[in-house]
Amino acid sequence: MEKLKPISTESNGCEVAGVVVIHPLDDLPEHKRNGDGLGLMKMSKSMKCTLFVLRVYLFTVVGLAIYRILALALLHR
Amino acid sequence: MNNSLPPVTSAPEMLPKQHAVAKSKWHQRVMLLLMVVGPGLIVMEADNDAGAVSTYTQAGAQYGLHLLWLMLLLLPVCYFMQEMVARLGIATGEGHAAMIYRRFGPWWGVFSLLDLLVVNFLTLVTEFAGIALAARQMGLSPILTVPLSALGLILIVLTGSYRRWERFTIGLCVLDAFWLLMAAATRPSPRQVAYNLIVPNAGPHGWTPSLVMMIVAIVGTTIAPWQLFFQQSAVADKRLRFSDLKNARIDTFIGSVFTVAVAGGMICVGNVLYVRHLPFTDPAQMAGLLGPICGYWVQVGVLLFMVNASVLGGTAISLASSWAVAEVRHWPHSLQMPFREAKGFYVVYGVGTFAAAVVVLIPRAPLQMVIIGVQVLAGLMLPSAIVFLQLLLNDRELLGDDLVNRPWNNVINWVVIGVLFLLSLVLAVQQLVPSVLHTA
Repeated sequence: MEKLKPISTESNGCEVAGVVVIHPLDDLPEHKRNGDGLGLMKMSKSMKCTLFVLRVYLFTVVGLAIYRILALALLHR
Repeated sequence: MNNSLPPVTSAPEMLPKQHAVAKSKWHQRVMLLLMVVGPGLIVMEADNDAGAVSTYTQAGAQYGLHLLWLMLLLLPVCYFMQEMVARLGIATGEGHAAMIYRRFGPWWGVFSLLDLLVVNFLTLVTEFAGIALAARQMGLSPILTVPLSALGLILIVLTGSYRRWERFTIGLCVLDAFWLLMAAATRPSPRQVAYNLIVPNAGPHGWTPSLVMMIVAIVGTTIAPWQLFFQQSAVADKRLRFSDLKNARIDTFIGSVFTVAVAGGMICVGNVLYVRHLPFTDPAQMAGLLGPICGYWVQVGVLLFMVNASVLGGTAISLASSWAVAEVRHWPHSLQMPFREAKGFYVVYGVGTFAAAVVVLIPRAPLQMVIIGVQVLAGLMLPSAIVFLQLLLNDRELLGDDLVNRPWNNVINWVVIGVLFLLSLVLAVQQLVPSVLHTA
């Protein structure tokens, strides 16, 4: 049989035949890559372009919404 | 016990109180998968909420089985979107709202959060509207059933245990398999189901503007912005580890297949009324029409599972909002915490839930406006949420080389984003300037 690796290296213990399987909520916390201290993302040209397109899209949709509200308001006058 | 397995030896006191011992590699894999399954399945199935029941059954009633191919097409799209979220959640251990705020600054952070809160609140109103409709059809008063449902939704998160909430919610997800039984009871032709599943077609009337709008509505229903926020926060709250990524992907895949199958089942149920040319306005009314055709149990089943869909959608959507607010405000936020330790998180959940229930109970409340508002805002929100997701998944500085998107991943995602942008724009124009499409 293939050798089994312990699942959670820090917390495996006591002499048992097999592998200790630990629920994520019971396991020791891991070091995560949460970007602490990284600050804002460095933007490449393509990323800036994407966000520009997104802003244009959002302004267009908001503009349409305002137009629709005004049209409805005029209709109900 | 198999003696060929290597003993795991170290101090027993180092083991956590709750652990299990796998006796074989296969056993270990299954146990780990069962421990990880949850966020992917729940996020997918919760998307089959009251609005989805309405959209899918209407699709079946208006176009028969002709749009089943769209569900099959949406399966990989759902999976790719949510897999990225699961990966990001495991890597960062934080929610989507927090990551947008941190990496793109306050403007985009606040915009994403506010947009999410508004669209989630309106969606929550539609969940309670679904409960009210089903209750009324069953002869129960919404004045009683809606507040009771709101109370139930609050109680299931107040146990101070993520596991308890997850098990309960997975139970609700599994109950949705009943839609498949109801679909089978409608006896659709297996040949027609197979043909429409594999061959994209528009049905006998061709590509009409109303068909395009139905496709937009189905896409918008199947891929919702809150799902991105919910799954990442759930993965972070469950504290999934880097080693859980493979199982988180399996969880997401199982959820995608299950949700698409259930949605297909709803289309088959609606197809009964397409075949008989019986129009209906909402699923509760549809249930009444189905009774004499398919049997009383199908009628009751549609109503009960409409309530199930609303409860499932309600808890997931409310959690997506409360996790997002608490992450951005740096409040303690976990279902593992009792109320006294995460007051802000639970208050956002409770206030949102009760307020949505109250809106539904207001006499002559403009619920139709709310439903349209949900569609428009979700359409507005989806492309921006996905763009941020895509940019975050290419953030090497944050994720490192091993977890960023692969080039093929990016190609697929940008195609999906392009299509979603187009569909959202079509939806927005149709809802906001209907005369444009009408003239066209």
